[in-house]
Amino acid sequence: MNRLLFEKTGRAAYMSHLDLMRTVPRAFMRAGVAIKHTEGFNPHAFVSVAMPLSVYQESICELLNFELLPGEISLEQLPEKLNSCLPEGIKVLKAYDARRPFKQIEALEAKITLTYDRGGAAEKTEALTELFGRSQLVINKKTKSGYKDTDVRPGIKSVSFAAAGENIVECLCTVSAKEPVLNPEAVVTVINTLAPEHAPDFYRIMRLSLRDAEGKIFE
Amino acid sequence: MEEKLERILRKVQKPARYTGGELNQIIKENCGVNVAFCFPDLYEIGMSNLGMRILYAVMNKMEDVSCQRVFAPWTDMEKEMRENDVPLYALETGKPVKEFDIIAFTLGYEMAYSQVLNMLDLAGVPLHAADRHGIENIVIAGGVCVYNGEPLADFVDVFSLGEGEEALPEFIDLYRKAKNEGWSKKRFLRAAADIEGFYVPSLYDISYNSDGTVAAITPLDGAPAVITKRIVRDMDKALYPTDMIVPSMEIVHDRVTLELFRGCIRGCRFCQAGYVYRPVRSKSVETLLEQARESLESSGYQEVSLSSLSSSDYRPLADLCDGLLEYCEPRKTSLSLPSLRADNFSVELMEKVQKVRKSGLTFAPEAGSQRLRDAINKNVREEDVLNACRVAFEGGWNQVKLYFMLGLPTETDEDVVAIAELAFKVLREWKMHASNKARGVRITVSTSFFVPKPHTPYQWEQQITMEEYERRCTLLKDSMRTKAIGYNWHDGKTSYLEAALARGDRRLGKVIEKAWELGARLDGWSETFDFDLWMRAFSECGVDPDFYATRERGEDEILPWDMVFVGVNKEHFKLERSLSRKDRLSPDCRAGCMHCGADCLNGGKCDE
Ligand code: SF4
Ligand code: SF4
Repeated sequence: MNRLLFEKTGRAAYMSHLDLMRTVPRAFMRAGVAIKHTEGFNPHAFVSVAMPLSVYQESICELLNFELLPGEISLEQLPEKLNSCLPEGIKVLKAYDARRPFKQIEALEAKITLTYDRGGAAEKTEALTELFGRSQLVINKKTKSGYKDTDVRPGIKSVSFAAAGENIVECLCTVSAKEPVLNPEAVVTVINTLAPEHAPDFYRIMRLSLRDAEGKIFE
Repeated sequence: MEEKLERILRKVQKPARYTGGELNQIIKENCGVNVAFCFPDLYEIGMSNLGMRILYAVMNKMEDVSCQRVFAPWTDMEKEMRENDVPLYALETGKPVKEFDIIAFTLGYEMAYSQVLNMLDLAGVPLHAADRHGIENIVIAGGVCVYNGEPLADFVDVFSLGEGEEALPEFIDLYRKAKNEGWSKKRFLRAAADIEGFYVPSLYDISYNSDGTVAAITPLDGAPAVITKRIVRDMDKALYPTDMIVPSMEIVHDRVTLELFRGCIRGCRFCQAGYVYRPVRSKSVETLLEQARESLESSGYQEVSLSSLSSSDYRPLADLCDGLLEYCEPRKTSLSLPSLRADNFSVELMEKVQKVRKSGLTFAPEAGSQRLRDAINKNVREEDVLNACRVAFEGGWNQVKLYFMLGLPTETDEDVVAIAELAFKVLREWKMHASNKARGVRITVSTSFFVPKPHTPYQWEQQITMEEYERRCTLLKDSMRTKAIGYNWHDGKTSYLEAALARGDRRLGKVIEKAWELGARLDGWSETFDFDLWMRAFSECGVDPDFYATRERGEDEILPWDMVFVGVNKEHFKLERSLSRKDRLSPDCRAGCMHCGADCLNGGKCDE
């Protein structure tokens, strides 16, 4: 099994996961690099990603498994080749042999940039730090069996806030990537439901890294 | 991307429609002439349009010219744009449309007219040509609708008639000169009218008789009395963009589209495309194979479709398919043939295509009875349809779609019922010949409401009323004797409005504007189409839509589009109309030339 490490940023953040799953196989086709296909009447290239990324979120740590067919170009040459065949914002950083299975991914580190049009970033930082210091954070969250009131605090492994100028609060968080998985978006939902007076006017989410059980970077 | 835009993209469906950034988009900075190429419908529709892709490549290939794409926003996005003061922008760079030199529209469907106004308004550009004083924001429109662009004459500065590959660069060069030399708009438009194929509506005065018909079309300032459409003579040399933009989101035709030829040899009397694209000009097999290979490689698509008005009329079709399959099969790429005709349907071809993928079959006999098919010159015999279906059923197909029109000139109730009978015979073929009956069969009959179009032998005919159309739909529905055949019909209201707009004149400009003011948007979509609103617009403007839709014109009447020459003489249309009334067929262009006149566009040659 082979693996790609790639970024999905900027305009590409607006591509859905399904769009991505069409785009990457096409990029292999364009690059003229043959990869393993599924069997069946409507065969398509076989690729799978570690954790689907929500629309609007960016990432610099996406992982995708595929299998090069024998006789194809070397993995080292692959990023350059693929990058000329991908839309703006999707950039392959590395191609390598996958040694560890996705199931060893334990956590996801993300940066959330919260924008407050009316300023007050310092006070917001204080209030949010206090909010997330609570021992329980119950929000209405989508689960496998519909929407449910759920305490997301256990899923947030670490969280910190820092003001960056008058209008911006930067949040660094690490959330669970193992069942029950927590989308970093939940941090914003917590703010919007439990402290609506501190709801941001706009926010961006950027995945920074995937982590294993020891807290080391998973690639 | 600006944060303001990002904020609104969070609130709309399918935001990828509005971001650009796809593979192979073309960004050229600091060009002398900038064209905003607007498609008055959604991204996924516009990006499926081959003509738009070709002209995008043609313009961007010109030195010092930049062409960027603009599509219509869906209602949710329009609302956000208006509320947040985000003007209409081009996808490539986000530059506002208002900052472009030329704003070009492609018009393939009358129901897009309200969207043209809406896009100009979203761009912050004055709607009326007369209110745009300078040479910036010249609004030009092309596409099949502009063979009668009169309903949009108030809003559009220039109509480009026919194929744009060669004509548009001439227009842009003139624009560059005018811009560099600081010409007035008036001077520029007058000069544009001298380029063949460009119709400047403001240079024509239209007067009307007391009965509402056109009294005279008077060219002003020495403008030509007749404007002849442009064509590309040598299709092998015509630019075909093989390094095409590959949308990141799913679009309607998400595949490589090969254009085998332009025009159609058939001459079905109701068919505007069949006349306005004359004469037939084909690409060679070599060109097509090369274009297919290159586009599949550069796009990464795994599907290629053959698209021409009647693809099975392509002479070397077997050779082409062999060549394509040879390339496609090992690459697991599928080949689809959307418009096959029942008469020269080839068993062999079907089997070949089947090897890669088996999809449903569609036939368009258009009329149920042989008499009516003869009258409309649809040269398809019942045996042909049944034979083709038999072959398909034997080969394992189990889905057939049959398309018909209701309301064709001379149609009687017998002709309507004959549609059900034909569908029933198809079902019988299945019962007798299906290789695999266990999977069942799906036969679907669809009917649309005939819309008489300009530049056809039926341009003088009335459209039947909506009530009559609905009566015929019900008659047909009641004649279907079995549940194995599905029947669906088009909404009559859309076709009635389409009929009014298609043969309209300049007096419809105020109706379109009023409808837009009342909220008409994206009228081709059932979710947004509001018929009552249009009827209100007609009545508030004191214009009777029946005058345009259901009125039969006299053959000596001046038609609003008489200044436009598509290559086919009016006498030919009259002849075809009279043959239609006698239920008489005309030969196709290959069987015998009817001397329609279109060869004059191509140095006396047709279909070589
Ligand atoms: S075959 Fe008839 S209906 Fe089809 S494009 Fe040609 S003229 Fe039109
Ligand atoms: S001139 Fe003859 S061959 Fe050419 S398009 Fe007309 S009818 Fe057909």
